[in-house]
Amino acid sequence: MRIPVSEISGRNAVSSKAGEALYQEILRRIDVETVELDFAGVEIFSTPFFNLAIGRLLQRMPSDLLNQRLQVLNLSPLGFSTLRRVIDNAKRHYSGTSN
Amino acid sequence: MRFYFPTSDNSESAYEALSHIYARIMGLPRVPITFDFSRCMQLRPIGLVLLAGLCRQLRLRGIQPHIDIATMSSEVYRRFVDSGCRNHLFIGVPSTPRTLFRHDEMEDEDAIIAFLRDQWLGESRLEMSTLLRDAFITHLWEIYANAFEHGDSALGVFTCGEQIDDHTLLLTVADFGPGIPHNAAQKLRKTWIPGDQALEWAFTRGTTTASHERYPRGLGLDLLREFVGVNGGRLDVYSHHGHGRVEGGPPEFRSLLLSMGATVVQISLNCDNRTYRFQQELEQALPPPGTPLF
Repeated sequence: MRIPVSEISGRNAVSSKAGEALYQEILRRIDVETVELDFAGVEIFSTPFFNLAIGRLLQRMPSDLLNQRLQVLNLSPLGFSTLRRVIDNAKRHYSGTSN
Repeated sequence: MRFYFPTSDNSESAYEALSHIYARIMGLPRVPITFDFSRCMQLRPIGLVLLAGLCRQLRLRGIQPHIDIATMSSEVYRRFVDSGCRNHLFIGVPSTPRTLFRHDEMEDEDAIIAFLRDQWLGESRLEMSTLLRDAFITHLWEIYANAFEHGDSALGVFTCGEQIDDHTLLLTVADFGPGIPHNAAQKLRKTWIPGDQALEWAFTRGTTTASHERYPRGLGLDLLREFVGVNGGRLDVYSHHGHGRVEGGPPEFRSLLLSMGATVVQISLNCDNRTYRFQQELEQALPPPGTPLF
């Protein structure tokens, strides 16, 4: 199932509210099917958005299952760089190694 | 009561001088207050956002501050008008085109990002690619995310931008929330911690001054620190009695004698060859298709 992220966040995927809305969309589907997040049309990203939408998924599912069930499409280099940082931080957080 | 507004350049001593004024004003009962600028030789963004924030605090206490424009030098008056601060503080004055001053009571991300893109970056004389522009905005949004999360919603967030030269832009953002030292002390379950230790703690990756941690966070300052390091710019974070600076090396932290009652983040960014190297690195960071995300 493909989720067009821009329909939730607009071109600026930065607010916690949009991150929460995307997280709820993902949760509704990820237990039963593969979720594709399509970032076409999204230009600006923030760590609060990704923390709420994606980072905390690691609390519910292990990494290997998330790799199978969640894909990202059309994510710009800038978006990828921000998301990479959020995922690395979330892994530290949930493994108990963050401050 | 008359207060001499100090010279407000981009130095730590300017922040400390402003903190002195703040402490005196906030300790007063409700008396009429006049700001006198006869000793103010420069009125840069840090002075403008703090002046606007002070005036708002006073108005919320029922005090109408008087800004004595007649005491401003022509240069200080020019800054006051051209920045858009005058339009913010006075009703009924002619509007200033191309203002780089704004006040946000609520987190309106689309409006703030439009301001950064179309006014602060768009009206500068700097040329940059779309990717680089978006990278600037993405990193700068972290300042606003922190300010709105930790700031005082009654006062809002004040912004002032400035183009320093053909290669450098400055952005100053102030909020009047409880500040990093207070939040860090609460988080570390202490009654008080020195400003330098609080700022150092806040700059550490994965730490957050947010009151709850239901999900991972605490990347904003770390992301900014790294971006400024690559860009060759400068980042100053003044928060109450602490100051952190990143400029060409490891961050430096200092405790200040007085507290401004505000958090001011000031960032200067370069748009020269270093930014193009950053852009190339970013483009090369995309992994091959099929690489696991988690």
